[in-house]
Amino acid sequence: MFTQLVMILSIVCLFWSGNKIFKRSKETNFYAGKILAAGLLFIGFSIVFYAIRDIFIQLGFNEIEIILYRIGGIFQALGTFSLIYFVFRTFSSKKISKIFVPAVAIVVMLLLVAIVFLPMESIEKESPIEIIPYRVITHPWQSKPINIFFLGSILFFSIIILFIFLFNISKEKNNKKNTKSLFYGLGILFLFSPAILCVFISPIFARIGYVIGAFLIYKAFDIEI
Amino acid sequence: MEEKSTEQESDKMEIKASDQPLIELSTQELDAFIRRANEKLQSKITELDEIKKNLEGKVERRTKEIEERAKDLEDSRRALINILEDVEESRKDAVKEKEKTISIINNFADGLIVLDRIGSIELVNPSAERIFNFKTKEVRGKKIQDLKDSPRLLKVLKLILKEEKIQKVERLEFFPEKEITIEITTIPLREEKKEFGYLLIFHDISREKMVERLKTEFVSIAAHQLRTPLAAIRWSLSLLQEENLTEEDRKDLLEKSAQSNDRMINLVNDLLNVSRMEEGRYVYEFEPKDVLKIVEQSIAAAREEAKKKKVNFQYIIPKEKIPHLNIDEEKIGLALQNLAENAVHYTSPSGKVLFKIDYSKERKEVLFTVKDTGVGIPKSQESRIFTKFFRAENVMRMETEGSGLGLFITKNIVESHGGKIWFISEENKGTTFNFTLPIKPGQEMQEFLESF
Repeated sequence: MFTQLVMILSIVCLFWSGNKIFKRSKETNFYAGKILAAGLLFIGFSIVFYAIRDIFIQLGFNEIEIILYRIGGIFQALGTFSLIYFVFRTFSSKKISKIFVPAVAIVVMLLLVAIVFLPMESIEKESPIEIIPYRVITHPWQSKPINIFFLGSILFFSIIILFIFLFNISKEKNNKKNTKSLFYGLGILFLFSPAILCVFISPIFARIGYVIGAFLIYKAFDIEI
Repeated sequence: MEEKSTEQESDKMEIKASDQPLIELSTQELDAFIRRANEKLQSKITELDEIKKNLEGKVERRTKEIEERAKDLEDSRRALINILEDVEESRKDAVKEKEKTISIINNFADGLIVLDRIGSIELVNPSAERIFNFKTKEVRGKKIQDLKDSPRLLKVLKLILKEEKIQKVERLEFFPEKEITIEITTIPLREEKKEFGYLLIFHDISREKMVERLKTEFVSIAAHQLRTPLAAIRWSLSLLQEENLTEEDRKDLLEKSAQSNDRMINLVNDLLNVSRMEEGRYVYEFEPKDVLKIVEQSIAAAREEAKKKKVNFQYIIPKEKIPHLNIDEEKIGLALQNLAENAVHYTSPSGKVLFKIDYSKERKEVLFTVKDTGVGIPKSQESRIFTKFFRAENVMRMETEGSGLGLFITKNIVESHGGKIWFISEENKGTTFNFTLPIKPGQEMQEFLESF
């Protein structure tokens, strides 16, 4: 129940923020805002699929569950790319964007291939936080190099995003702008980096990460400068 | 005795043996012969051994001597190589120094001509080549007095030569052309008190003279411009002192004084701005700003004047929202105000003024257009429109007000923001001024944080 509540909250926050940001982008003619909105909506959709997947896990339909997991993964990969592209485009220089964005695109494409086509393990676990018995399944890849590649990519993206935001914060004197920057930065970070926990430890912890991320983005939008 | 007899016997046998063929010798005789032969052989061998030892000793000594000599030769060779290397390094250093000196001379901003003892040209640097319009290879070795093809040089010679000898001259000015002033200095070159040549230095001070002249002009024009409103205020104040003035007259005089005062303040502000620009003290504080708000504030006065003058003032903004620009609000406001007020000022009643803003996402810039149907700018004077104190002839005929500094200041402001300013004009038809302001990188982040 707790897991489902967390996911619903994440979905609501992400769709609400995504919609608001998309509308504001149209009003202000700010293209990058549309990219952010797209990223949030993609992540929102991925969590929808994960939530539906959970139902099938509880009912024991593991063959359908993995299909839904892969679809959710596709949306999450697309959302991750959109968010990272947004960060580079808005918060870093053109030179850095030109180097990193294509590299990120290639890595995400490879991850997409891995998510869609490569064989995965299915490890059933009991959810640690639920009061009533609640089963979850983690799906690390069967190939160790792919797992390492996935882990390395997510960590690398996370460090880069964190660095970009901290760098911009260090140059800005306005505290409110810094707080807003930090909320957006951490929010974006929490929307993709917990995928590591999902794949290797338990989806429950990842979903807690996603709801934190969604909430931070929602709050960031509210901060007026 | 016995030994001797044995020996004698042996010798006898040996002699006997040596005379006879060996095959005829008795066994005893043969033994003795062989023994003696062996002994002789042994002693010969011993002798040979000694000779060999001596020879070996000699060879060893000679070998040692040769080795020592070879070692000495090797040391000498190394020492020679070191000396040669030092010499080569010194030579390279000397070449470097020479090249450095030549480079300094060639790149020296002032013209340099080096003459030898008899006045022949030894060296001319590129700056001197440009001043006198000749090449070093054409004149090297020739006497300076013989170079009659260079009129400028002839003028210089008239100044520095006395009885065919070069006089010592310091900072003597000569004017090869209008607006060009060159300072000449001659320096005798001496080595141990003996003169071996002359160095002629030609320093172009045209720019300094121009700056001096501009400063004088600036003060003169400023004083002239200030005198008119001051005179008007003085006249108004003296009239105000009269007793038989009506209230309306007093009001009118006070208004005129206030206007003259405003003119002076504006002029002084313009002069101060120009002065600060020239000295690099015109400081800009760039911040992301909504440019539309600044435009509306800046053109308000011009719109008011247009209304009074019955000039149709149109203001057009783009449909899409313009992102915040990184600008100095006060300075951009001043530039916009200048252009808008000029447009209205120089447009007759029932004329039109259009103030338009365009936003180009592709070129990442905002374009401001101020178009009027006013007096226009004469073609012959277009190139001077952005210079200080310049006012076109047709405008001067119309009115005497105006410092001629507004466009100079506006251009400086626009260019300091990374923008460009240009115009198209036709006399008696109107003028269109355009300027752009770029959308700088980094503004996206600011805009995002402020809008989302």
